[in-house]
Amino acid sequence: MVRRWILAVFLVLSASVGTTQDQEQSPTPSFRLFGQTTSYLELNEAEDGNSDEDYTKFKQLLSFNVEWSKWTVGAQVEYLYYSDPELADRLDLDRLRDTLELRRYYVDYTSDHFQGRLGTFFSSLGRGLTLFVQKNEALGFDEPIHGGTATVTFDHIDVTVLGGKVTEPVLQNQYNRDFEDTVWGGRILARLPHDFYVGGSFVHSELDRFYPEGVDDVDVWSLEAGNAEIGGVLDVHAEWAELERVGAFGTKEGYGGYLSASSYFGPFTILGEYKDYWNFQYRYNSPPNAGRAIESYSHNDVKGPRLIVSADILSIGAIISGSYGWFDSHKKETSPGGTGGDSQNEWYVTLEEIAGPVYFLSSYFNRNWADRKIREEHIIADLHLSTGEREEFIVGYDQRLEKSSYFSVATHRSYAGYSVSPYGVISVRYAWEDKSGFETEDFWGLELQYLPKPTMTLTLFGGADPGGLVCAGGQCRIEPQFKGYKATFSWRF
Amino acid sequence: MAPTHCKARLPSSIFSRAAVLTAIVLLCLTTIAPAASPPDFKLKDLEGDWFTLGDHLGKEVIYVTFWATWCVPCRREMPHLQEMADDFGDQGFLVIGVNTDPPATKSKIKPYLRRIKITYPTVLDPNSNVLDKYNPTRELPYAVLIDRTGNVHEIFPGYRAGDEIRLRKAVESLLAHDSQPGEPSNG
Repeated sequence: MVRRWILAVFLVLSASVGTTQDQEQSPTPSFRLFGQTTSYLELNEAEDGNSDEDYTKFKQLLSFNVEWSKWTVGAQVEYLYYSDPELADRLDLDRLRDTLELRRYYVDYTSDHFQGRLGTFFSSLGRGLTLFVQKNEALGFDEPIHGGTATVTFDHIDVTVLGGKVTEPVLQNQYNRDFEDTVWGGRILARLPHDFYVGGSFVHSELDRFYPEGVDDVDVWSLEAGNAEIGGVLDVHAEWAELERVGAFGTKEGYGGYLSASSYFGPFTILGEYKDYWNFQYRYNSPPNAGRAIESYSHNDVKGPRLIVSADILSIGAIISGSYGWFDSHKKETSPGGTGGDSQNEWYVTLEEIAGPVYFLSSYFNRNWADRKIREEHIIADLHLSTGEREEFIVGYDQRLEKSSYFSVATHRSYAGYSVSPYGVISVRYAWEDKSGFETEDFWGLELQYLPKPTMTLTLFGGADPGGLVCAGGQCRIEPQFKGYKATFSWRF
Repeated sequence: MAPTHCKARLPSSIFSRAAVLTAIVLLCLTTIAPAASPPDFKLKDLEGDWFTLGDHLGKEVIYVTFWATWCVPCRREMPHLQEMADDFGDQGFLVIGVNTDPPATKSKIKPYLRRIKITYPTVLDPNSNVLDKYNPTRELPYAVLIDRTGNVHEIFPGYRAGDEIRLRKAVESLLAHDSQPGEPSNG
């Protein structure tokens, strides 16, 4: 009964917000105020149908920014409620947060030669080699640096400094406690004649250790150079970084080298990269990678090249891409007596049609770990067929497979939907999971996305989802299975 | 250990907490006015040169669109935007693509733009700090159409086939009739 009341209140509030906006006719303020509210409700049902283990999760976010002249002040408040916190899934990244938190707060100043921010911010240095602290909405990663950053721009030189406290979302969830780390550092970049650039970055971090209790000191620096457009056809970037970690068990050193070049001729574009990372991954870096952003990659110990060739075949908007990469680890060089290495071959082909009344994407990804005897496959097919000026029918299929001599796991997801611009989409989802030694599991779901106005989005979902490995923007996480109902309402003002 | 978040506790009763939260939301809704102007930003383009939105506000009709190479709806929308940039560029219509790919995948951006023949200006927001101001939940694509007075005319969250028709009509209308300063936005 309580759950129904919460759902009812949620829907009434959603509707009242829309009405409120209709009635607003305020004059233009002397300052600019903009923001967003998002309400999220999740009714979780237990797998085995035991209603004692059902629970409700409700999250309310209010974000606003006020801009006046060159200053911006912003904040985001989050209210989080679990009907029974003990039942929250261990993979739910929100479960350790407080009931009410100030998730964002900042004062921002921007002028011609200076940009500065005090409060929360996200940042990367050295293309992610030395620092990578980012929000990833699709995966629920949302832990900014709490501190300050400033960038000063001279004629041809940019200097950035930053520092603050930060926590890593997956780790804290895994170990059931906060990890409160410190990072500080900076970057200098000089723009030279003929589009050349050269620079470097440095980051020092103090990482809260999970065992034994204490702090690891990590220093990482990098030097970078490149050209945005040599002769109008070649884009080159090279970077070299070294890392030193001083921890409970002594000092450990590592390095990271990255080279990328892209060019084009006629209908072809070519992108090549070479990477060599050894002992290089730490809690707050994510080195460059030209591989697919929806696959998982490890950057700690890997070396090798990759080549990607794409072409607009027949100049009708049908893009075909092929990629091949062959990588190894440093095990042969570093293990006593040598090992067989850890070679992997990775390739994929994609055909995407982006022009005209039909959108079509099909892709096959294959990664073969020869020494581990593991094979990964990822198949994607997505078809959007226009059935009118503003309507289209959508069908799609996605399959991830991991197979070794001992086990195989395949997650299949399919969907069919109907979209009407600008009002939204209704779709049916069916997923099934095949694990060796287990019975096939089925997951059905129905989703409705409705936009009563461009500034408002209401999304309703009912059914089940298999969870599992989800990757977006080059980052991945294991998501929990879900069964129940979800409702989200966002309003931008 | 010093906390890294600003935290506060609310009264224990769910009803008290809900009341406080509702009060905060309602207070905000009743005291604020919708944004007239978009947040200004200063970002680098693909060649490393700075681009400031404020330099163009009040002069052109501008469509600021946030996208990433891995975002399928973004990729579907972009050829339509290029077509509109070609059709209306000489009438004072400017499309600004704000790419939000993280630095780790920066090498993919330029090849992708070349591949699908995008020539309108693209600037880089690698840490999504600008996107965070426009759209804190960060769904992509996300766009705002700005009229010649520098005010937000309409917001375009996401992309569904046919949205480009609505955009084209809005752009044609704005180019034909300059909006009056202070006109309430529907965005």
